[in-house]
Amino acid sequence: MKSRILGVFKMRGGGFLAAGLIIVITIILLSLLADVITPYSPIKRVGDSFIPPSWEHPFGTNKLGMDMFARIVYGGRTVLSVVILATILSMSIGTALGLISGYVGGKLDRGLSFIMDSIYVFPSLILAIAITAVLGPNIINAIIAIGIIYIPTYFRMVRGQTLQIKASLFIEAARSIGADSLRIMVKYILPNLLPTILVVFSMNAADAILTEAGLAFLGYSVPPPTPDWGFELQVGVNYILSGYWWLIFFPGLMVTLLAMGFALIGEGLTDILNPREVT
Amino acid sequence: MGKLANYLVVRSLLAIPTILVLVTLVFILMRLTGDPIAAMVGMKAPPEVIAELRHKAGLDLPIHEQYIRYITGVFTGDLGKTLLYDRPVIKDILDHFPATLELTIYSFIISVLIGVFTGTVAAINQGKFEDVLMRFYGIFTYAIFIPWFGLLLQMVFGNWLGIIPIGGRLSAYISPPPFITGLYTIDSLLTGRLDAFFDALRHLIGPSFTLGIVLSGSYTRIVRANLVDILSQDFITAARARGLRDSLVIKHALKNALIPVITLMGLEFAILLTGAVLTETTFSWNGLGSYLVDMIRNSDYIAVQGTVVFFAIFVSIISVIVDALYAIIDPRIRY
Repeated sequence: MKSRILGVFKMRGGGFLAAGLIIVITIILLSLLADVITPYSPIKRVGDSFIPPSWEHPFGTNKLGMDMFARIVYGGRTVLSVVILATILSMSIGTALGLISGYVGGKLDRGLSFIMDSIYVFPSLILAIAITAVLGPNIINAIIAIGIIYIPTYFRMVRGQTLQIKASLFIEAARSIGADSLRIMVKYILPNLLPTILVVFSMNAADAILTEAGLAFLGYSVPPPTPDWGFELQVGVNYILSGYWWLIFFPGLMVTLLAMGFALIGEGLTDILNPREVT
Repeated sequence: MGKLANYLVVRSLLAIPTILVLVTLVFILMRLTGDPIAAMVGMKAPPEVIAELRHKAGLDLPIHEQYIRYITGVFTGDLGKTLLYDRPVIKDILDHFPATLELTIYSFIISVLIGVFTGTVAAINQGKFEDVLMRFYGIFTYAIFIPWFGLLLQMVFGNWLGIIPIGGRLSAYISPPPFITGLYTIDSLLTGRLDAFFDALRHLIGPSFTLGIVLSGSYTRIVRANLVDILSQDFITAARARGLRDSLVIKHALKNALIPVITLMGLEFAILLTGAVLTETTFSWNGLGSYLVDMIRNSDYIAVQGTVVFFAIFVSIISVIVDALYAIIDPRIRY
């Protein structure tokens, strides 16, 4: 069993998967264990302002003398919770609607697909900004906004797959022994969708991270002083000319690394789950 | 010819329901909170002021009349007046749009050039180190956080090396060229203002490379995938067998591999606009993205609604153009 699990990483794409998992798990652990890793509070002055990176403050300090490393590891909690809750929201709604739409078909399917396609072609961040602007900028609304804009991503994939699976023999068999629609959808179709959902999820998590950071950068996520990577970067804008590079470099690097971690997982999973596509 | 014209007409008509759905969604969204005016002026404002503003924005009408007025407005180009400055929203939008257009055009060219180059390198070195490297490049650029990358460019090339300006569209000591298209690089060339042309170009380097590099990864992937596919087809083998030089064979294959790139352009366009909002904010680029962000800060919901509607229509029009291009290039796609 153990060798079978390890074998996954030796397949084509396994390298990407392993690299992605290492990045994502490291960042998750850093944020979960923030209290253990850093002795500093993320929202209190711990030294002079603008200390460059040193042993004591590996990512330096900001204008208010807060330790940037502490702000970043604690900020990971904000980013991760927004992104995880938002993707769960879009995944569950998108999957449910896609499954029903694809299975039921007809007018409902055409109508839903049309609405979903319309949202899908729209620039996601602009929609997210509009939603948070209307609902008010706070963490719950950021989750709702990001959750809504990515519903079509899951919907389209799940609907397409459902159409394919619906036509297969085992579904007909299930129907002939008297299984009702709900049972067929949940028991027979849904499990077959899981690999696709997994791939869409990891690519989508990367998008969601970038969108969350974008919202925070524009000031529509958590209110200060709660640490959040995108927001740190917005503050950093003021210090381009002063040369306080650590206020810009580290927060943005974390956003990019985390997004890249998920994108690598998605890329690896795609290779592993669709070996035929690879040439 | 008749068939192509038919297709184009049908495709253009199909854009109308899409626009209608998006515009309706924006309408519903903007009314979710109930009273945007109260949110804007705050609770302390005297009731007469609120009533006056509500009347001006048409918010005292029944909801279905508001909707009809709004939809007629959208299709006649009347997006209302900004709450704050009482200017027509459409005028503000058309003032800011050329800056966004100029930025997106340059970024687009950069992303396609880099994408085609890196994708070709990956495909002809399939399975080798270069291939893995380019694949990694695709994933990395996909994950780049635009403000981070933009600020790093500003810091390194703007502040430390002093090669590019930190932000803005034009230096303060250069007067903007006369308005023709609103695109500085084009207007300055048309009026022979070389000083403004080179200055505008220098200001474009930072933002357009930021956005261009971030978007190039998707082109890398699709060019690689198509080229790999085409290089294994019979007509390429035949060309090789006839002794065609390698560079010619690749040119041959590349021409065919670029057709799907056009489809990607349509899909990428939404991402391009999303990226433009962040790039504009990062580089103090006075385009539509910056305008939207400013208006949200002012809680000017009429301006926000108008700008979002404009983006929706713009995206729909672009997708029609992309489909038309595709139909012209590839004769198989016609009804």
